[in-house]
Amino acid sequence: MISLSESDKKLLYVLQYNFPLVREPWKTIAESLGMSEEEVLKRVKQLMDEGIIRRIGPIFDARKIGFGASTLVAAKVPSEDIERIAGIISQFENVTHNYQRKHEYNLWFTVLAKNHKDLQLILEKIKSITGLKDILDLPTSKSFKTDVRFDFGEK
Amino acid sequence: MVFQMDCVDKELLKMMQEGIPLVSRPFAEVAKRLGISEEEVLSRIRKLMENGVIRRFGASIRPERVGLVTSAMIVWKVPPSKVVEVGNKMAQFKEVTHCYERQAIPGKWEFNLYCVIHGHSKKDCEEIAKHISNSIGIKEYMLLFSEREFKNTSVKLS
Repeated sequence: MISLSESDKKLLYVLQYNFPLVREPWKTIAESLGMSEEEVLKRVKQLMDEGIIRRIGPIFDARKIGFGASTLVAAKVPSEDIERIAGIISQFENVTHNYQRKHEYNLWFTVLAKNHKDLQLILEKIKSITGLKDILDLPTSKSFKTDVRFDFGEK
Repeated sequence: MVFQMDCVDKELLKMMQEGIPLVSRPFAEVAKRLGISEEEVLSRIRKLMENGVIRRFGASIRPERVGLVTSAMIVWKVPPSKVVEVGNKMAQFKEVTHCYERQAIPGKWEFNLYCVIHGHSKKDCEEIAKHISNSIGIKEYMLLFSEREFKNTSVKLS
């Protein structure tokens, strides 16, 4: 695990919460943190190489770009077969998240599609390829929050 | 609901979805590739944010690399009449990154409110859950710890 310096924490905060949409964003960030533009760019590249930053760019609202239907699926998968089956499911482009969880229903994945009909077709396809029978289809009825940001400022 | 984007918007988003270039003027670089001006790139991004197509612009990070090693999904059994009130309250917690209402499956799966939290350890997550439970007044819940991540991507424009 990598430990973050105080200035890393501040940098990660600005990059997540307050990225400046200006011609020279790194320079603006540098000025606000009392660093040079070169230092900021160098550190951002390092944090990317270390895998802490996944990417810097736009995060879309799936519904607004045409993915009107989404669901969470829970499946009971034989534990000795979970890697293979999870691998098959992850290959679907419409599957965005796929996790093994500690429960009788041990594989949980999210599926996005243009509409309800397409979503059902994808689920049928997943079922027929994997042979999974016992699944829970748990479509979203209301979204209260999707905000994957982390503030390391406290403590 | 779906915002009508023109083809320049689409190309712009496609070009940036893997991340902007790490150069002094990233938007000028994107503009050059699209054959439009740097100012136009910036104003289009702002417009797409106003319309909610871009939920936010900035860094996506991997929390497990910085010590938030455990994430858990918590499923809650909430009386249907209270879901909106409880969901809104739950969304206020900074440890909660996702919070959704999902339909229960009567007789098989009675949980109807879901959230995802990140913590330093399983014990940490359990304490966060307890704290949320006390403040929202919902006692029936279950933590589902993630044991392995097979996939975690964002939606892609193609």
